[in-house]
Amino acid sequence: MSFDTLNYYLFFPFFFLLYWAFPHKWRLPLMLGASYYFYSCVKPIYLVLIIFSTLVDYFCSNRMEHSLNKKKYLWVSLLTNLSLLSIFKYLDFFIRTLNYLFLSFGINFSIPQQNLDFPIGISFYTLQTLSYTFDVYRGTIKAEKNIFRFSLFVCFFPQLVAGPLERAGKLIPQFKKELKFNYDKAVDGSLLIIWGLLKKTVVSDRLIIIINDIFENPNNSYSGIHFLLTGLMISAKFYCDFSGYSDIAIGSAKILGINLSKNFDFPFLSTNITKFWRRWHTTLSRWFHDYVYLLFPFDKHNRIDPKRLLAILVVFALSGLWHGPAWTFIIWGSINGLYCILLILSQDLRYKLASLLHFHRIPSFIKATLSVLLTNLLVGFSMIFFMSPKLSFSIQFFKNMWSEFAFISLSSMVDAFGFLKFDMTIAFWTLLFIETVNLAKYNNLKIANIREMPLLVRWPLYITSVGFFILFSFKTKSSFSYFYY
Amino acid sequence: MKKFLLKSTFLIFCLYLPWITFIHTGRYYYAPDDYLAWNYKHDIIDRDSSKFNPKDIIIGDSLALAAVNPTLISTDLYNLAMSGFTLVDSYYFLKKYLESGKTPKRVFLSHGMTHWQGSDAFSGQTIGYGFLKTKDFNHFLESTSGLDFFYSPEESFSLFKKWFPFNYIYPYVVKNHKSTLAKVEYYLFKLGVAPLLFNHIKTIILDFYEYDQLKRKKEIIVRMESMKGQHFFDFNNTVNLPNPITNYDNWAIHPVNDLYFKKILALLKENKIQTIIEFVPNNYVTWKNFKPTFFKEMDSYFLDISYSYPNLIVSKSTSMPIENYGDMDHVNEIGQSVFSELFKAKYYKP
Repeated sequence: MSFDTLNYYLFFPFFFLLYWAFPHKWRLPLMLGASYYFYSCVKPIYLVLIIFSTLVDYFCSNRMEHSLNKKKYLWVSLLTNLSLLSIFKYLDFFIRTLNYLFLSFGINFSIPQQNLDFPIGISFYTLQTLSYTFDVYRGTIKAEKNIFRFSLFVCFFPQLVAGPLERAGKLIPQFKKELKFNYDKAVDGSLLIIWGLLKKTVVSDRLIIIINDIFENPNNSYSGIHFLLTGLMISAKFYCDFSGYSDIAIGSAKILGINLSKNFDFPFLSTNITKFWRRWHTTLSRWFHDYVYLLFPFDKHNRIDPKRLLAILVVFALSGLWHGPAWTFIIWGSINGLYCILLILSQDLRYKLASLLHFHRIPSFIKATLSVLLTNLLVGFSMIFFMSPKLSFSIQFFKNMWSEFAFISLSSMVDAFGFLKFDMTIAFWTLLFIETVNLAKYNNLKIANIREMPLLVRWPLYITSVGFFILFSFKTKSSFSYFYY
Repeated sequence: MKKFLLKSTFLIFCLYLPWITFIHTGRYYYAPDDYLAWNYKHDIIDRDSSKFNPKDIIIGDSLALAAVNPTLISTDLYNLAMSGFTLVDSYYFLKKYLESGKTPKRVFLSHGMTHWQGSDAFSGQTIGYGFLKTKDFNHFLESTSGLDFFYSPEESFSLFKKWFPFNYIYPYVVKNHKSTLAKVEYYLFKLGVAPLLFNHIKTIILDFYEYDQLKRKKEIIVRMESMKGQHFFDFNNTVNLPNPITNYDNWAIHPVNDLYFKKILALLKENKIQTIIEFVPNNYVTWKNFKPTFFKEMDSYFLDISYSYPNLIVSKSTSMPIENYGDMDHVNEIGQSVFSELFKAKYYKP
């Protein structure tokens, strides 16, 4: 069941009424049942995997607490979870790579691909359960004794399929607490759901069609400038897709009285690449920071310690691989890792240059705007790899960007979109509106808070936004991209 | 909780009220221009019989709508054909037309092969835009019970197609409870919450950008006013391919169409109106696909019918050159004058 289908909006209100109608002691089994039902709507057989993974982690974490050989149970949990992830997500990628190596060395042997079904959400719940096992191992949290509560932590439906990645220390205590219905939380949650739906169905679903059209370029109508802007469009598409999903997830949980972590913190307003990745998919970034980056034995006081730089590169490459079993994803991750390394290494040089060229005379908002623009262009550039079906495709795309580049008038640029022109216009203006609201929120302006507006403004705004969503949501639905990562 | 539920309900009501008002009053604005003829011609039923009562009328689908230009044929003729008009639609339309006091002497029935053979006895729009009333719809369900049901209400119910556990019972329900599903879908249309309505309205909103819908709609209405119900389906010459949903080997009339054709004949016989079956010619490329068995079975079918309805006239199906067509089925401006002249020569001899 996806958050942008009518099915969810038949399921959720029904569950919401049931959830608040029952006393606290019934809510845990109710949520667990609803979560398993939610997941089984994708494919019931996937339930076996998630239940298996839950049982292994429950067993290992509880044993770990009372065992002298904690490491043994950590390894059992790690191996089980990572094996499942590797088999279902990466097996064919490994086989393809091996076959390519065989061919390169002239070995006439190839392993057949397995084409296993990808269990949606496996990348998310694997990381979530791994974080739990690590935390129990490190003694940060105590192992959960109630198997139902632990199972709910693994499969809580608003964040099961595509995050936000939650830590046991934050989520499990909320399941224990006797919650009372909170009107303000419910309204905030509902508004977040509408906001997320606008991002996904009005902007992201349109942008994906436009990006695919530019990639295919069936009428050769697109030029280098379109190719250049494609990177930014891909960033916007993924932002609206994933932050839209996160908003709906956080909103749904909020209505049920549960707080989930923020996943996006105005990334497009970042003035450098490091800040960008700290604000984009923050729960994943924190996961990699806590469980991979900090494992490297670097000197914490030395910014340019080679081990630290290596850790950055590894984290980004791994993050790329986590997003998808293809070289394009690894390259995307590595490029962003290199950006961060370059940013660290060039810091002294940049300061010297800035003082030499008297950059301090330039007003700070101009410097900030330029930095934001450059950051987004750099991310957009790497996004071409992220979206490309093949490495050769991205290389050809960059070649076309260069060879077919020419300055053209704005009207010719818009006309090139052909019958997608109107969709481009809707996507652009809606995105601009979203980012303007984000900018206002970022600066803590009162105008960004719809709930503080007078009644006569607030209600028409509620009605307009829901109406806008109904009329302008794109008819062709594309699934949430992060379902498949 | 109570406050939240009340406010949510109020929000839904605030959205629903203008929506349902628009659904019931703004059909002209949101219906695709294909359905302008439906709007226009259903309004004709209410016209005063002393002012509007043509001697001859043509009832049929878009092929006839484009091909028969009464201004080139006779002042006695009026074209009441509509896009996607099936034999089921034709029956209910004729019934209402005659009940309104109109007294035609001759009715030309002209449907393309797809509407004789096809399983869509009526399209979603027939219900969606309210052309088929609740009484007619229930009558239709009763009349067709026991027949191979054709109307697939999957537009609304496909939502549940993949939804566990409905995915397991969905094929069974669609197969065995189509009549109930059709009723549910009918009321979804009436309540303005059928997915098809949402999709049409959204499409029309987006189309406004591409071309001025209202201007085009006005032009079509003006054309129908001046050409006594005729308007072009398509002006351009396009590729002429055989219609993929026509069975060229056999006549293969669908049982529901058979039933409603006989109902039409009975209705016209009861009102002492002569019935003429007229086929708009096929383009030559399509024509070549018809097998002799098709015509043999078709002749035999109409021969059997003529025993019960001796006044029935059935014209032979023919063909015309590709240049006379705007697309694979519909004539263009040239085809329209050629066919109208042929029509005149056949039925309006001086």
